[in-house]
Amino acid sequence: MTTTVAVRPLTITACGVVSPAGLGLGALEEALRSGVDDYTAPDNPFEGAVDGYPPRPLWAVPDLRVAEHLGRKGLRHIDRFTMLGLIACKLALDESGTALTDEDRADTGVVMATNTGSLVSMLEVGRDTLLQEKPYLVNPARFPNVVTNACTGQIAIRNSLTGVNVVVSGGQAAGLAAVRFARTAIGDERSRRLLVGGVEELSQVAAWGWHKSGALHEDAPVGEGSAVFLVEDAEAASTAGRSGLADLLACEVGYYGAGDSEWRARGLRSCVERALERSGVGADDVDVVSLGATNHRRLELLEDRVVQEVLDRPVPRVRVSEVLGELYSASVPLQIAAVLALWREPADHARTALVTSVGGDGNAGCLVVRECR
Amino acid sequence: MTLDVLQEKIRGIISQELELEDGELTADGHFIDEYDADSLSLITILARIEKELGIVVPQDELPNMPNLQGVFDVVGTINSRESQGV
Amino acid sequence: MSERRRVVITGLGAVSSIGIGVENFVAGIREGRNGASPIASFDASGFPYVTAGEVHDFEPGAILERLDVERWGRSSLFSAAAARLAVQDAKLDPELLSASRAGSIMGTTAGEAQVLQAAVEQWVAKGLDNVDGRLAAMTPVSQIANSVNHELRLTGDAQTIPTACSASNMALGYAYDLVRTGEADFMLAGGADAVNRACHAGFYRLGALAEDLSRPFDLNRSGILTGEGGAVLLLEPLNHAVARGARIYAEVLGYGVNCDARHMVNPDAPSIAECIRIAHRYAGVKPEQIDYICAHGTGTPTNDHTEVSAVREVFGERIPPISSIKSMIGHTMGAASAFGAIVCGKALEDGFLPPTANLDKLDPALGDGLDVVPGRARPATLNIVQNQGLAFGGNNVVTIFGRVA
Repeated sequence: MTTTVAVRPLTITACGVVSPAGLGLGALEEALRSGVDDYTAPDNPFEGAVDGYPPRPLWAVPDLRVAEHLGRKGLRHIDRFTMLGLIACKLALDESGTALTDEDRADTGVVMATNTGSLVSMLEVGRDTLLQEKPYLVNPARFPNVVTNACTGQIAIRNSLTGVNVVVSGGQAAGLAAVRFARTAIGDERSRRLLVGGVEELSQVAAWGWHKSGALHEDAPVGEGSAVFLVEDAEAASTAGRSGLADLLACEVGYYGAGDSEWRARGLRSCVERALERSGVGADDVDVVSLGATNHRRLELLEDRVVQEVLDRPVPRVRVSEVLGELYSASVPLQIAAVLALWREPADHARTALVTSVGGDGNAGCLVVRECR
Repeated sequence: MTLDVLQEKIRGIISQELELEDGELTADGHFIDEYDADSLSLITILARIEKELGIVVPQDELPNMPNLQGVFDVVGTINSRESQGV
Repeated sequence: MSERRRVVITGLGAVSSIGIGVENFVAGIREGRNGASPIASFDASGFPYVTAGEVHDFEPGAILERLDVERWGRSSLFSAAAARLAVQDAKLDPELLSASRAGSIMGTTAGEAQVLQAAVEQWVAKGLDNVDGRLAAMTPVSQIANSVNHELRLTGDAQTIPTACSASNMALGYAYDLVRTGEADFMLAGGADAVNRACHAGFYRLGALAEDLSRPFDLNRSGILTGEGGAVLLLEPLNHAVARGARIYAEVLGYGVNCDARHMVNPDAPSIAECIRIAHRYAGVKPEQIDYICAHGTGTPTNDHTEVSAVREVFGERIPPISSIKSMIGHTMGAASAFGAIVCGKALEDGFLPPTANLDKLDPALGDGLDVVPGRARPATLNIVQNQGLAFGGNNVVTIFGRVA
């Protein structure tokens, strides 16, 4: 029934990054080019919990300078997860230069990828129901933090953004789903511009989860962070004379968890091929591939092999989790940010990147990104 | 706990939850109109009074607690009733 | 804008506290059946209130054909089972479905809350390094949609949208977009959540939990009952449904979505009213065409008052009959709007007004001229209905359905 049609590109006009390399795209570029000298160790976010972190590298975001970015008021019960997202959004909105008018804010929405939201906030309530004198003695002010959309809700509240406000969970590939959702929402004029990105937070629970699952290589670091892009319809941006960093072209995803690894490889391959076709981009046009399954046992090789098969030539690879650690549902946004970071150094042509992802849950996909000139 | 100590602790809890500076919270300053409180922050104040001071204030009492003096009155009544074992 | 396809609902799947399978579920709704019972899924003895809307007779193995029930959490089993039931209800060939561009968009509030609950229990008892490692792979929120794709062997989008209590309306809207624009040929859309201790504790602490009964619109309403279940609808293009002679419950005419951007918990009437207007605009309908409103209707004093105010703002003097199925199944969180959508679909097809149960005395503060369809369903010919979802975070989503003559 369905025919493959070209997609309407979205333009990224601004970008905010919060990562173990520091704040901003510049810090990420520096990290990708020369590494990070000194990673910040994570705190213990659980009051009274004696459990430490598992024995593996753990890379936290350094000092967030919260008051500087978000002020001092209204943050008393905001959890750290939401802070990461709020600051990334603030950086993106600041970078866009012109402040949003009230009318703009009504026309602006939020689409964020995450796995469970703040696992810390969820489990804090869970622990309280067992450890407090009465099971209901949970902190009411922090209870709203348990919903997975707490972060996007706060982003809307603190920036008065009344457009579509949504969270997408799709494991490792969730950021691709966020881009797909954004395209539909903008294509249907549900919002003129969207903050699109993802956020994940490091805690001993997340770290133990990765450690116990055996999904990653033994020495693979676990990180955290958020990347958020201010996006709008490419044609609208260009008509209005707004310059962009890059265009998001086709984004194809699928679920291949019900078969074996060959089935997954074929699934990922079909996503890459469809994304190229719908973008009108040939395999020869690809300048760089930003990989998502880095440090994932088996999947790392599978992803690299599929990319090699489709492109059929050596193309430079970017592995952002080598410098930021495992980022789970924030991976794709930071894979995109990594491409933008490297493109800060000018080239003689408009470059094209593939952003690929394949997760242990079976979700996989590919996004085509083209530099704006 | 003496009444003075109890009231000082309550004042501290409310100042923290409403993010007020020292001395900003007055006896008759209206929580919602003057200090931007909402139902969630008021419920949180009751929750902390219960957890930290061991005094259970039913949420039905919230209308009687529009300001600090109201909280002192309601908590005082409950506290004296409990200490008399009624 | 390029050509868009019309999208219809041809399959309904429900796993609820008042019945499993759409016929059982809707029979319960029509008679105002009460799905509340003493909590069995966790030890509730320390709580002053011990009632919830749990699904007691759910046997996932009896419904599911592919999923290994040991490796998926309760919420995922709800969503996969409801999806399987929806496909059976649609009489759509599962082979055709899995060979098509098809996937699932599923809403949830707390994802695999019972899996997390088990992990927290093990953590507190034995320390983090002794938590069962298998739980890690079962906790992701994304499992709610993954389970549907896995069970039905679908290779399209498997997307979970965890936007709290309006999540499955958002899921339905997005799935409709994907079919309408040709990104997909079939989509399963809905939601799932499971009763859990943290949710029960939180709502109790907020003063938003009812002791034993959910009484939306009643003078003495006191809050929600936490509920659970899975609710899934099958969406397909109208022309395909007609060509295969499918039973068509309803057409998805459109939806509206916005965000209050004011408060995480307190709803905002003007913003909800605006969301309803957006939905009408996208669906191409006018307020006077709406024959019935399936309310969010949680039964908290604040929600019902705010929601009715918002409806008055849009509808003025004449408010269509408006009812809350949460009076029967409790607040099923991320599944709530999808249960509402199922009821809307059946109400359009069978011609009845779904009731509000447990109504003793209509709250006069809600204003005059309010028909909440007390007690039991009433026969009525409906052409266009609307389904409202409101959520923590200020996320409002309103879906509009129409009868296909």
